[in-house]
Amino acid sequence: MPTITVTNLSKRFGDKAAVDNLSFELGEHEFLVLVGPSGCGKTTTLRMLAGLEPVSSGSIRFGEREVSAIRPRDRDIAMVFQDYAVFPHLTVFENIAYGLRSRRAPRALIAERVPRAATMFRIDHLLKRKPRQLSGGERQRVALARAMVRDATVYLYDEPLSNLDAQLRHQARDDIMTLHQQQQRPSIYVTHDQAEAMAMGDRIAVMKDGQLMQVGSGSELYERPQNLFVAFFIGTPSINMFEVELRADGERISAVGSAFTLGLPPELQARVAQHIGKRVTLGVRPEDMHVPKKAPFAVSAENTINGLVNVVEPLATGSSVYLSTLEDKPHDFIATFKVRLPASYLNKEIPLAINMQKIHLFDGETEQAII
Amino acid sequence: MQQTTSKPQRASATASTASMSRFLTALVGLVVVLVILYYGFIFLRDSNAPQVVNAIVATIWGVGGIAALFTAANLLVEALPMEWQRRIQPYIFVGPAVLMLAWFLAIPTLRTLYQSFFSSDSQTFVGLQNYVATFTDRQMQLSFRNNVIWLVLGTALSVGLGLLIAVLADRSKFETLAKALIFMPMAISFVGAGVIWRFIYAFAPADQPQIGLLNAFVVGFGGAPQSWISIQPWNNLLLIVVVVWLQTGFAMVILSAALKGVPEDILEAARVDGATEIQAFFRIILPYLAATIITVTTTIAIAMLKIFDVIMVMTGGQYSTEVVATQFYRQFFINRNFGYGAAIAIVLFIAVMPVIFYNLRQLRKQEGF
Repeated sequence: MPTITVTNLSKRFGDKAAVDNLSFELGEHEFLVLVGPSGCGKTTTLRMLAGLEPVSSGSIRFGEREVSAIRPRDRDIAMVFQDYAVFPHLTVFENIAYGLRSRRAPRALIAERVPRAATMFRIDHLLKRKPRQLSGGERQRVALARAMVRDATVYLYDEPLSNLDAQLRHQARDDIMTLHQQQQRPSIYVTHDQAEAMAMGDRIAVMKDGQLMQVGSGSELYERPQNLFVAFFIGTPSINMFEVELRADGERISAVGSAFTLGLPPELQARVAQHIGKRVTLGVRPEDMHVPKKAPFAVSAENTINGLVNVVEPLATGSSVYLSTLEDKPHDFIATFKVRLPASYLNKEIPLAINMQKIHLFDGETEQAII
Repeated sequence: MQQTTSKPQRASATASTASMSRFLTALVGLVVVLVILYYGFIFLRDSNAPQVVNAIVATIWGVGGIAALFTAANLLVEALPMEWQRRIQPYIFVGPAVLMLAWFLAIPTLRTLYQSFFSSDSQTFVGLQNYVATFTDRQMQLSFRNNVIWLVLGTALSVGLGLLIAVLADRSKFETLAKALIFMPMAISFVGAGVIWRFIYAFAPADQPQIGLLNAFVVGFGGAPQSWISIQPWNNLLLIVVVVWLQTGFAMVILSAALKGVPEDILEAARVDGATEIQAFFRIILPYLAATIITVTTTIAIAMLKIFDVIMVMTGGQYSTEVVATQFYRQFFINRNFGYGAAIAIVLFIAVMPVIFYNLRQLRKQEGF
């Protein structure tokens, strides 16, 4: 039972399409995260849903109701803004009550709901203050409480965490999830931060240049990206890319790069058959590169790349190692290990075992995933 | 041991000699400047040279003299020990301005206050008699009434229209053009506006051609021409229209600038939260503009209290259009009743004062200064 249905939604500024033929659906209790680099049209999409930006073409339906041509106030939405958008001249109480007052809610309802929402977000002791007496995190919670009391049909969030520091961000993220769990309404959350998207969304929609690249759960996007962009955008550090050519040698198919040759595992071979002899992009996640001795699979020349260690970055859980391939025009890549690599490896050449079960291949021209 | 102690002493001795010579040089410089200024003054006073030459010399003497005076005085202060320098320097810069203000503003005010307690020729002390007359004279009571009408209607209309136009223009495609047109009368002086509007209200008997714009319309639609500025008491409103025409642009420009400062996202938040455009205006935009509206209102209110030129040009105070400032002018300069005129001026001064104080406090609150 989808409650937000977006069909062929477009927004054009002059010749340029900021949002290009977007279609997706959102279920009753679903929390969708719209993620993409800046300028990909995610905020424009959200603003069209809110009615703050006129739609060029396409339709938006909340339940059965077509809303793409009606005013924001008639859409029954609650929205949390990037800069919180609390009203500077109103007290915290009046800020939270604003939506109810402008809809002429009964006083008793306001007196009951506002303190309850304030308590939920731990700002009940601040109700008489003005926003300029509050910290950024507190203002954020005022904005959340304001959305909370509204009991709207749809909840929209426009990068609500981007102005908070790392510590507050986790807290605010929990607060948003609390709000969602309380209200159980379809929610759309816009962010440019893929890590935040992975942490929050039931489903994540990745956008680029106004188009939807892929919609799925976080693990789907990470493990089975449908195209090069999604593979590259999701995950930190980013996936390593190598230009390779697929060559068949009898039964065996291998990916031949300028500095290495990797044998594809037999179960993948059928799926790449059409691409033999073509140039493709090989994607390897940093954590799928292992120190040979610690690799959880058999290591041979068929699944090893040699690299020169340029930088070793210790992490809480191991280390990130920045390497380059051994060739005339070295190609940089990154491996993350669960162990600390001693600094003595700096400027040394080391072999890296690649988990061939987890590699990605993308068509060299269309950039669509092959496996 | 002795050598080491004597060294810094000698050093400070040379330093103080150096600063002393600097001080003397600066002192000589200041004296030279004063002498030059004095001879400039003598030259200008006794000069028989052509007026153009006099004007040029006066300009150089005035502007250059002030600059030279500042420079020389500043050099002198900088030659003083640090502590003295810090104490005196502010007065060097503020002093001349304060002196000028005192000379041209404070002393005349005090003189006027003094005169207001004396008879028409400033010879006999009459106590509060002039003030009693100010508040009992029928002409003056009429002037007070008119001034209140000016204050209330003129201010309210200017600010109200300015705000309305600022808000409407903000949503219009022709914002720049509309604002330019409304702002343009600001470039016209009150006297100029009075002359222009006299033509608009001009009257000729029905059998003659009408040169007044308003009467041209009235006659064009088959009405009888009216002598607009003699219709009492409505003529006051017609005069107020002239000033509203001038002041609306001022209010609009300031309010329009403040309007641009209203963050878009809080307006959007209000709309999403269910506010109509009218609710958003009264609950979000207006409170946001409150401080600016007060500043504009007080500024225009002061102008309305002091209103003089438009009335002087258009009716000369006839047809019951007198206000306090025109009364003052009439008593002081035409009737040469100095005591009475001074008393009126003082009353007007006191009436304007609270508004000015409020205006200044408001400006300070906005960190204007």
